[in-house]
This record gives sequence, structure tokens and C-alpha cells, in this order.
Amino acid sequence: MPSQTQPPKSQTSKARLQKWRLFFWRWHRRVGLTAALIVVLASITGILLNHTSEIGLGKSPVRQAWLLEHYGVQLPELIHFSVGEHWISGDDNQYLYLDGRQLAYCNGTLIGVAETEGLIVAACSKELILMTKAGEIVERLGATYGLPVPLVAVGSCADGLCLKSQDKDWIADFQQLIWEPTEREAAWSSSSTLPSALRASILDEQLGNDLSWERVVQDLHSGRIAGRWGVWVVDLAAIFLVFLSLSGFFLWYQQSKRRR
Amino acid sequence: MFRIVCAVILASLSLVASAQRGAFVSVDQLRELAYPSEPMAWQTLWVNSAQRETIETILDHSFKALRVRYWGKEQRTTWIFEEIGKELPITFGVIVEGESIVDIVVMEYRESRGGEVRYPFFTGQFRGLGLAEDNGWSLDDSIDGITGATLSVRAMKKIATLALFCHQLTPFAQIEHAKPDPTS
Repeated sequence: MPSQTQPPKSQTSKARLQKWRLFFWRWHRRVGLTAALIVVLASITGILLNHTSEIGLGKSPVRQAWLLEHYGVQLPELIHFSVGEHWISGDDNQYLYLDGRQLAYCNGTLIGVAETEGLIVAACSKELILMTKAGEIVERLGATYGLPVPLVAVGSCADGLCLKSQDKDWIADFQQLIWEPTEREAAWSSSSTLPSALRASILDEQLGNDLSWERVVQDLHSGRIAGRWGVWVVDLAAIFLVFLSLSGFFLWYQQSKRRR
Repeated sequence: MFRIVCAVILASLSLVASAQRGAFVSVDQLRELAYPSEPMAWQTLWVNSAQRETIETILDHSFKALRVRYWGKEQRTTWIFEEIGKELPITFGVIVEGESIVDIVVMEYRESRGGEVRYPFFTGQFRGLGLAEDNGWSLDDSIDGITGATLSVRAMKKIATLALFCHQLTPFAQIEHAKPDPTS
């Protein structure tokens, strides 16, 4: 004979179902909220990837320095000098830029810039490049013309342009290409910070098309953008989605059964 | 043993390469060659856009300079140009007189192969050459090449042609043109 204190079987199963319902209600909410951010991100990136050719994601190169750095793309090392209203920059591939526009190859690292006879003189360690303010190369002068290389500094001094090389200061005569030792005081050119718009323009010209937005969106979708842990987070969000489907189905089924 | 043989071979190859490279003629030596014991002042040839186009045709690549330095006296001019052989620039000195080349020298050779172009057996072929009359910007006689130095030979031919062209643009070429024609 069944004990009087024991509830009937149907009551036990009802209580168990009630317990599960409560459990699913509680966790459906919690898991839903936790997964929401990842699911929204995965959904948006998924839609973008579905239409990648229409919106040209594959052909759009990434130009954001921080994102390129995140992907390990080497950004050029740049050094900048201001001269009058202009900026001369040099990169680690020995290219010169005038106001953010690529100008010419220069033999050696850019060490300074000065102005003489209405021309801009960009001094690289093994060569001087004379240019107009519009960026036309007037002349290149290297060791062939007796330039004392390697140059370490360039600056303006009384009566002209001074150079520092081989532990000596030199004054340049650009008419006769004579470089004479001097003891004149010089205002040596020193590097400064380039306005961000010009820097962006140089980076835009310098960076290749190695990284497309399609790749970034793919990595956002899979979580790879955050490395190994990112993939695990997206996996977890996927498991949460499976749970949400099951819990949602369970709750819906229970509700409809009760209504009936 | 194998390593020793490899090391010897590599050392020999690097010796051969370094034997090709070098600075052979300085600016002062070139000046002395062109104008013995004469103090010379640099002259400047300003290049206009039409002339620059011709220079680019001769060189077959862009030429980014508004002026070119040279020495000039009477009908003789001397030019220093650099041109890429295969990967690195070769520095040439060219002496032009009248309408033909007096001498061409390799002042500095930086490539590992093809340095034979600096020897007189080769440079001698350029002596007396002028510009071809067809206006195709080439030399008026052919040059025998050197096996293994094709690009250096090509660079030297371009520079010889360029020096002849630039010479025409200087007042030192006009001196001869201004002379009365003895046949008239």
C-alpha cells in the first residue's frame, strides 16, 4: 500500500515539470542576454558576408593603422621635417614625401631639410635632393660630386646651407659644388610631428592591399579577430544559441499544452 | 670536406664579385682626363619639358631633374651620369667634343657582374661615335656586346647617347655651329 504522505505520481511529474519550466525560464533569459551581443555581431557580419560581392568588401583595403597593426602589417617608420609651409617626410624604404605626396627615392635615411636659394634641400645620409616648392626635383647631389658623406645633419647658417659630416661642419656652395669646412654657427634641422591628415595620406600611399575588409568581417564573424579565445567565445555563443532553441521550444510546448 | 669545398667555392665567387665592383675614376681624375691641368667650373644645363621627354626616350625611363651639371670648354663638354645596370646604378663619365664622343669611363661600378664594360677594349668602341641621323636617339654605329654584361652594355649605350644629346643643348656645341661653313 502506498504511503499517505507520498504525493500521487502525476503530482510528482507535474512538480518536476514545473521545476524544469522555472529552470528554463530563468536560464533562457540569462543565456539569451549573455549571447545577445555575440549573436547580434555574428548576424550583422553574416549579412555582410552574404552580400560581400555586391558591397565590394573583398576589394576594399583596410587603411586603419591600428587594425593593420593588429594583423601584424608592418607600418613604415616615418620621420618628418618642416620647412617653411611645407613638410618633407622620409620612410624606411628611403622614399621622400612632400606634404604627404610621394616624391622621389633618396639615397640614405632622411636626416634633415633646409631652404636655400628659393629651393628646398632634403638631406639624406648619402645624397642631397634639391627641389622646388612645387615638388619638382632640380638636382641630386651625392658623393660623385664630392659631397662629404655620410651626412648626419643639415641646417641654415650665415651665408648659406651647412652640413654636418665626418665630425666636421661644412658649408655648401651649390653653384660650384664646393663643400668647405666651416666653423659657422648653424641652426640644424630637427624632426617634428606631422599633422595627422598628412600622415594618413602617406600611410594610404605606402600601405599595400594585403588586408581587405572581407577578411576582417570574416574574422569578426568567426571570432578569430580576438585570437584563440575569440573563437571559443563564438563557439560558446553558438552553444548558447542551441540551448536557447531547445529551451524556447520546451517553454513554448509547455505553454501550449497548458492552454489545451 | 664537402663544407670546406663549398666555403672555398663561395669565397672564390665573392672575390670575383668584389673584383667587379669599385670606384675606378674620381671626379677630379675625370676632370684631369678631360681638361689636363685646367681649373674648371661647373656649368648648368636647365632641361625644359620637351628636352626632358627626349631624355626619357633615350633612357627609356623617367628622368626627374630640372638641371644637369657638366664642364665645358671650347667645343668639349664632360658629363657625369648614373644609370641602373641590372639593379644598382653605374656612374659614367663621358667626354664629348664637337659631335662625337672622345672618351667614356666607368667611374663607379656597383653590380656584382658585368664590370668588364669598364675596360678599354670595350669603351674604345664608343670613341668617335655620334648620334645617328635618323633622330631615333641612338649611336651612329653598333657596339659589340659582352656576354654576361648585356644590361651594363645597354646602360653605357644609353648614357653615351644622352651625353651626345645634352652636349647639343649647351653653348659649347653652338660654338662649332656658329663657325662659317668652309664649303659655302
